[in-house]
Amino acid sequence: MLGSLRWRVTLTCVALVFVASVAAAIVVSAYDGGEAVLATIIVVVLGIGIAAFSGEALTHRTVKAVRQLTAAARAMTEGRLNQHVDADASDELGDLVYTFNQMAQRVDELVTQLSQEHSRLAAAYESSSNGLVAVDRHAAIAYMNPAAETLLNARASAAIGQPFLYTVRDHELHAQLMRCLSEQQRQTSYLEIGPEPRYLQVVMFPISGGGDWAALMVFTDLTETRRVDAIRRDFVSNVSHELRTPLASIKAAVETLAAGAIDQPETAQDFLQRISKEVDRLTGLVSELLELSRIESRAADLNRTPLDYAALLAEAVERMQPQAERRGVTLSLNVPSELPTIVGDAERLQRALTNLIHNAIKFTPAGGSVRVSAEAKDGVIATQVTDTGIGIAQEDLGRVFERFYKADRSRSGEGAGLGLAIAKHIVQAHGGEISVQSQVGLGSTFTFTLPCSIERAGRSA
Amino acid sequence: MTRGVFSRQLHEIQEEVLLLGSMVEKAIRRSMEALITRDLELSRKVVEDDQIVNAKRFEIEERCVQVMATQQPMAADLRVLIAILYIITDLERMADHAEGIGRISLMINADSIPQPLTNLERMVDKAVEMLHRSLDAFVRHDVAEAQAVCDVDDEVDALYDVIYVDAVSQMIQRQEMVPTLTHLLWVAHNLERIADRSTNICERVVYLVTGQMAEIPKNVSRY
Repeated sequence: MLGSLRWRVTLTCVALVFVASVAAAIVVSAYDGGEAVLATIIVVVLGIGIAAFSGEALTHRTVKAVRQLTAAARAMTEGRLNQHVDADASDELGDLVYTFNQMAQRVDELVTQLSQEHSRLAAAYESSSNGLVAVDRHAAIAYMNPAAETLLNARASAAIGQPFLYTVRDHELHAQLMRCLSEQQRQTSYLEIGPEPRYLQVVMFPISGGGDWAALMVFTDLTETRRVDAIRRDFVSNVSHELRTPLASIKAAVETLAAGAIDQPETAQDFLQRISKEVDRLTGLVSELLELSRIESRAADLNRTPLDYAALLAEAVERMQPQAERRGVTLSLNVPSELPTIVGDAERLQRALTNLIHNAIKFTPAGGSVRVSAEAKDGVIATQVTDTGIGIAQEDLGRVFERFYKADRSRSGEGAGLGLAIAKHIVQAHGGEISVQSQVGLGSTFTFTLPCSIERAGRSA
Repeated sequence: MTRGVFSRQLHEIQEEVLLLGSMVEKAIRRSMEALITRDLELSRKVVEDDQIVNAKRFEIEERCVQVMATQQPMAADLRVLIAILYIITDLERMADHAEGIGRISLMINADSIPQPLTNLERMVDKAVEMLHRSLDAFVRHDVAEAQAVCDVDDEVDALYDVIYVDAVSQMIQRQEMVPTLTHLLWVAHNLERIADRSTNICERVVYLVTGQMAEIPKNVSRY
């Protein structure tokens, strides 16, 4: 009972009044007149002194505890959450102190937890490869992550605080964003942006309880996906076109034979030859396709051996001589007597060379020439196939190495347009590069490099 | 206090101008895309949507007039509103040109379009770039950018020249192509006008910032 503050104060007051009354009674009864007044004054003064002293003594601990609590609370408002009050009090105030300490600890724990979650989320936002933009109720940007800066060609420092419309000026996207905010419903949209251009998917999520953040927009870059899709579509359409033409010819010939031409030996022979030619063409196409897919999918599967490159070139040129002669084109070879060794797949390199020389001959009119040369420099062997043919137009130059690309459509009957694509893949699989220079009417020069084998690197410069 | 209200209203009008700009930009792009890919459905849509652009333009004009009547802005504030009135007029005319391209696309019967095409695509890219950048300049009150955009107009005029020569020489060689090529020349003309309107917008931006209404010096253009 004495521990309670309430009782202590009450007891003190009671004691004081008691003592005062007793003293007054004694004094009044012991003295009379003027001396009684003096004695009363002395007793009162003494009484006040005792009261003050005992009051202070009894409440000292309490006041100290209250002061400590106040200081701790203030420290917490200033952000120093890790507070603990050491008060030696076993009364009601003691309860308060104990509870306060518990509260301080709990708050500290909660804040640490929230802070960690915040750091994790921030890391997720900042590192995401998807663009993230948060907007407030009025569609002004509240947050923008680095990926969004890249995708939207914007800078967070300039964009934050401004309406989203200023950054992405698309009225349809803006309308959907407003719908998302007003109807609190997820919206999906697509956006074409920037000079490249980029195709983005935009998904808008309304947020509740996010304070400033009323909606989150997630931007995903679909440009690459679309491009690959388009390539695939083109490829399929090209292949089916290339297959359809010879098949139609064969079908027509077969029908004609079945309708009666088979009874006329000469005509029948003629048709059979035609069919045979088309079948050859189809076979050639299929094997080119297979070759291309093999090269593209398993470039590492080259059969690498050290090669005598000069001999390889000579062999390729020799093989193509008959074709050159038939077309009235001069085919020549110009190589130094000694070339550094290269490590490569002989069969594939032969094919690449053959494709290049074949093209050169094909597009050079009679009387022209095709020259194959090679030289070693800077650690590579550069091989050139130069022709005096019809050349390639500027706008086609960048695309000649694409599958099925044929610059001169009028010659679409010969080959499938895969030769250069195959050559390019073979060269690149060996770690080299291929390029072309050309002038319409004057001719073209195809150049490709092959890295020299490492052991001879010192000698090849 | 009135300052705060005026400022807010001005911002709202500015946002509406940007929305209008976006509608016009899309109309131009779509009209050319429809022309090139022979998408008649898209061409029809472009022609129809021009009404929406017109309506939006009048809506913004109404708001400007209202703000001027109720807030009675002075000096720089008044210039901003006046500049906006002119800018939306230019934007609406650009959309009309895009609609024109849409109509031409519907008129051309041919299944594919002959060669002046690459240059037409370059023209529309440049024209849209100019529109986009002129509105950038408007938003940022950027005089330097406004002047830079006007320089691009020279490139557009140069492309127009090339297309003209190309089309005429083809017309001489292949008389059956005359109708289609003539239509394509009109398309090029529309694009050139669109680019020119962007320079008007840039002049208004300069006016808005400096208070001076002046033609931005460009190389002498034939158009």
